[in-house]
Amino acid sequence: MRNVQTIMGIPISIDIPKGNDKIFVESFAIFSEIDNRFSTYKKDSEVSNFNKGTISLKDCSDNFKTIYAKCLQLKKETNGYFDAFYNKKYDPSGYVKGYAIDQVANFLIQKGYNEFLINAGGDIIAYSNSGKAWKIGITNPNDTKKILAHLEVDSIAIATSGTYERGDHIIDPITDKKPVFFKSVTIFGPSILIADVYATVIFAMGEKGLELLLKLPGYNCIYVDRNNELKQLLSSK
Amino acid sequence: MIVIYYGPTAFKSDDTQNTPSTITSNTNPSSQPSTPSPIQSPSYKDGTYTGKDFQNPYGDVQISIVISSGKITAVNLLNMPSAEQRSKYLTSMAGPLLKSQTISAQSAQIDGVSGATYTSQSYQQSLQSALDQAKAV
Repeated sequence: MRNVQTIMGIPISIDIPKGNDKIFVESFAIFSEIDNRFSTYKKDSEVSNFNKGTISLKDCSDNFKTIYAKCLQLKKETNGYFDAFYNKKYDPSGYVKGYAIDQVANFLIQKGYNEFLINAGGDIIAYSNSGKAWKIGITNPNDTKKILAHLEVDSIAIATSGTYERGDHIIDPITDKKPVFFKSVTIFGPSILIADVYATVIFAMGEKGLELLLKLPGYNCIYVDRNNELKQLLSSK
Repeated sequence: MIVIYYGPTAFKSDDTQNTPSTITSNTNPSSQPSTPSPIQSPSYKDGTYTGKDFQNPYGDVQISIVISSGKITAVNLLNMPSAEQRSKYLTSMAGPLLKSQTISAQSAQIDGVSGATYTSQSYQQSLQSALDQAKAV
């Protein structure tokens, strides 16, 4: 069974082969709950209230505090390239999408589902401990109707960053310029939290960003650069 | 276990600096390097092939390649230089594996497509949307 709903402004597709209506409702509800708390577009969200100053950090929910701390840590870890505090406004969207996918995946595993695939706007967790292999394509940034390559895998988290869908919405927060080295960067490995953040960070940093992979054993990168070279860096682990 | 499929033209024939020039089957580790196998050919016997360690300026590297249906289906790095050496090595290791290899998702029976975040509008035109419609029950 597969269902699609638009939450957080992005189409979210969930495939649970042995799923029923109830599990889909509960799964999408997790996305909605996280969106209601962390959206910067919703005026009553906790993030909006925090930015307006109507609530202080110490009075925020535990989830809020956890993500806030994580965003601070990631800013440090990426030398400012992941910056949820850009323009003096707290916007954790770059982390929250991966977080939401991760939460739903944990929920489904806890419920005993041994096969599922969650795709939120191109960021994916595929899970299988049944022997089933998922086939996951990577979009060709020059022709989004085509795929460049595909992975055949039981369980994986995979995220792609590029500017070909929404225009130049990624900027290098250090130089304030549009990154130009990559057309797309795909990261895959055990956790969507890492894959999602680092796909964007490496995209923003350009070629030198690939060195960050050294600190991420188990994570792999497939990218297309501005010369249309498709290259891969596979983890030694 | 992850297998990455790039299709039959995954390696450029002139890409000898980034890929080992001699590949020997790991089922026969003693075979002589006098029978080098240029790896651009798509016509290999199925199996996993492990290259000999080869030196580059940054350390020893060993690669294994999985051939399935006569095509290279995976490349694995078995040995890597130390992290410090690897840092210098990363960019050179990122060999151009393929140029403009494109296949349609339908032909490969893809379950999901990873790509840059799309809008609701572009989703309507996307491969993922086509897959979702095909798989919706």
